[in-house]
Amino acid sequence: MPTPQAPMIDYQRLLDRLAERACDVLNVGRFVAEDFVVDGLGKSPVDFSVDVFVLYLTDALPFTGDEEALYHFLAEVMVHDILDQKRSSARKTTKKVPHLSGEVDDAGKLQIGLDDFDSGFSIDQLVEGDLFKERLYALLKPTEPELCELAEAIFELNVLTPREIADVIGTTPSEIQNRKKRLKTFLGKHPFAAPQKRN
Amino acid sequence: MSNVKPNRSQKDAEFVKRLDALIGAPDGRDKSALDEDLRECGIDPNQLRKVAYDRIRSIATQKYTSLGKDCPPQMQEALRQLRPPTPEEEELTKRSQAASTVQTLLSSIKAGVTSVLANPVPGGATFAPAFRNKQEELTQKDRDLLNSQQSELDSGQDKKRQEND
Repeated sequence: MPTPQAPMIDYQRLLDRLAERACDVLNVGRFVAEDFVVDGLGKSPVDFSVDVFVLYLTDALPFTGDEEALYHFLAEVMVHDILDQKRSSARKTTKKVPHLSGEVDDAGKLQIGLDDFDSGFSIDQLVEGDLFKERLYALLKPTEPELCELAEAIFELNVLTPREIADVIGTTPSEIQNRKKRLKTFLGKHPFAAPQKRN
Repeated sequence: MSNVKPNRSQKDAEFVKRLDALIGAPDGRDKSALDEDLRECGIDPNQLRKVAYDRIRSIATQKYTSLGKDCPPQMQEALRQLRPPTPEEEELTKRSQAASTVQTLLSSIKAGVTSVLANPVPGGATFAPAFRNKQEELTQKDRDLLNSQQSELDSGQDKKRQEND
């Protein structure tokens, strides 16, 4: 007797959705300060989605449930994988620094050493801080007031579902879905331009 | 109120929730909409499936088939679903698409002919206003030319009538 859930899962669809999800996360990182491919690891959205897909197929991530539940489970694992890999030392150590002059001060100490360089953007600035929010507001306010309204409702009022957001803004949930799609396109078209430097 | 700071995974979860609220796609999209969204992200769905298929097939061979083991059922099913079409299957699909296009074209022509025959213009044919009556768009030179041609025609007809009489 075949496994009950196996014939019911559309694997093409599942894979497409995972890749899209990986794009969303990496797009936000790129929007703030990073490349689409994770530095030092060379992993793209396709790599992340296929990785988690393979883990499931080889029983390394056992799961029983329908396609929707499986998608949410794998998407969660994948997003944490992306965030963890962005925090990894492999990514940090590939940041390039200019050639050191080797000049020393009177005490014989290097005037510019390796520790004097910014170690680069940290994903924690994105996850924990207001970097994403600030950059989003700065870009959306002058050109896309409706999208800015959406972002403000989510960040300032902490409303998360389309219905809740629609109630707060005074529009319909379908209009919120439209705005979300527009925002997604906007993020894809506005990669890293001028990140705010944080120390 | 608790003063306990959220740990990293809680912060990650919070970030993901906001990300979903900002740009998360709705569930239940059909395949074409999903493919279109994926292309907007810069990913070719066919290429994605090919990459996944090649990787899964390689793992299936190395970890299972070559060791005399059976692949897990979900892996077999994924390989079946993601397998790219063979050249023969592609040819067959192209032929079927071509036949379908021709069929659609013929149907639309048939429908067009039928509608023309079935719905004649009520009250007979209607004609567009004569060009020569559109005074405002004609220059004086054009009007003179038309008038001279008209008088030539009229005089020709008068002559014929006189000859017949």
